[in-house]
Parts: sequence; structure tokens; C-alpha cells
Amino acid sequence: MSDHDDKLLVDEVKNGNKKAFDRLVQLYQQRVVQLVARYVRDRSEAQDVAQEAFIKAYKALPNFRGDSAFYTWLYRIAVNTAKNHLVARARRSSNHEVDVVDAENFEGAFRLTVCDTPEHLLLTEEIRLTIQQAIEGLPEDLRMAIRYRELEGMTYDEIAEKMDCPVGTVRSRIFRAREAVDKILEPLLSD
Amino acid sequence: MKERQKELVSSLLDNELESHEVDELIAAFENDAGLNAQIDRYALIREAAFKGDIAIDQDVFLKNIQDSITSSSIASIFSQGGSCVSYSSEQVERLPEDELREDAILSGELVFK
Repeated sequence: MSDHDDKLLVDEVKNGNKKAFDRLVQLYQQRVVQLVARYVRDRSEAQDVAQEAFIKAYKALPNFRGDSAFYTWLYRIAVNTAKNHLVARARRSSNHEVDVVDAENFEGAFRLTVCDTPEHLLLTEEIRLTIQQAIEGLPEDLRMAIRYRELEGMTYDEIAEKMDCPVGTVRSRIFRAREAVDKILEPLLSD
Repeated sequence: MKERQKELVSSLLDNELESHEVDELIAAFENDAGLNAQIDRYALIREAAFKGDIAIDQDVFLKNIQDSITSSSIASIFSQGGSCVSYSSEQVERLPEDELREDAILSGELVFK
């Protein structure tokens, strides 16, 4: 599908053709779920957030003027939705007295915004390989910590038990692993 | 950008923030645009480490969206045949204009609540 085809579908949705929006969902659902899963690791949760992003996009379509490509616009909605989900989830986790709905509609001046274009943060094969090589090159304690987290989805408590170390150490190791990889990644993205 | 704040971003991605750290991180995001780029790159690292596509049931995925749109009367936002359709306030979920402006989304001003 070209940007032009997307624009035709968007125009049809604006004219009341809901089937045209179905088509847009079918075209981009895999990419959006994959994108959201970067932020929300759990696959089922990522699908829920991706669905929420599409619904927000549908709501926002009357105001979409087509200054950007449809997917660029959708990408930004999806990333915003995913980031705000992370914070709502953190609030839920940290305060059990907060109602789930309240947490999803949290108040405050908090803003997580999208800084980059889809092209800028595209996971190309080159970037994937670079990141994987960087992870392989990490000291063993960092490499194992981030593997347990990202590949096996273990919590910090579970990793602490597995690695026989305090939870704070796990947190620090995962952070230092990400930082070490990021130092290699950042120059690639700014080229 | 302080190391402490970047560590909080890393923990946010893992849903491992302590209760007192959530507000601290939110305040940090407001004062440091670089943290937004940081979380995007950490997320990209996650995707690269993850390996493989996520299998989704595409029909179920679409149906969930269709059901939400139908049940929440979002469909009423759109005009039919070029003319606006009027609905009662109970039917129409009004959204603040500034949340949905395309330029707000593109500039990153948009905040979904």
C-alpha cells in the first residue's frame, strides 16, 4: 500500500465508511503490535495497547489533515499510548488503592512525547545485528541479567533469585546493560 | 541527563519502579526531553533482543476494535454521506479538540489521558 492508497482509505473513513478503517487496521496491526511491544513487553498486553491506539486513531481521524503519511501519524499515536500505558501501569503497581480506570486516566502534567520519526527508529537488520552483537559483548553478569529480562521475561525478583544477588543489583545490571548497548546504538540512529 | 533518571526509565520499561519513584520520574520527564529519546532507544534494544514477530489473531484483533468503536459511539463522530450526524450527549463521546489535532500529535504536544 502506498501513502496515496492510505489517503484514499482515510478519506473514505471520514465519509463514514467504517470498512475502510477495518482495512487500515488490517494493513498496520502487525506493525503496531510489534511497535507497542517494544515498550510493553507482555504480548497480550501489547495487543490491548495496540487496539487502544487504533481506537484513538479512529477518534482522531476527523482532525487528520494528511500533512504526514498515515502510518507516521499512527506510529506517534501508538508510541504515545504505549508510554502513557507504562506510567499508568507503574501507578497501578505502586498504589493498589488506585482504581484501574483512574490509573488509566491519570491526572497531572505528565507528558511523554514522541521525539522521532518512524524512519528514525526503524529496527533495520543492521541495527538488530548491532544490538545483538553489543549484548553478546557485555560482561557475563550484565548479559545474563538482560537476557533473563528480555528473552525470558523474568521479573527482577526472579532474576535476583536466579543470579543469587540483591534485587537492586539486578536493576543496576539491567540498566548498565542497556546503557552499554545504547552507547553503541545512539550514534547509529543519529547518522 | 542524570544516571539516576536513566535508571528509573529502565525500571519503568520493566514495570519495576518503586511507588515513590513514579512521581520522581514524571517530574524528570517534564524537565528533560532527552529522557523521551532514552526510553525510545531502550525500547528499540528490547525489540532487537526479543527476536521474532509477535503472532496475533488478526480477526480477533480487528473485531475487538470494531466492537469498541461500535459500543462507545465513536462511529458517530464521522459524518454520513458528507453531512454531520447529530447525536445526544449520551451517545457522543466528545474529545477535547487539542487532544486530537494532527499538528499536536506530530509536534509531540499530544497527551493522551
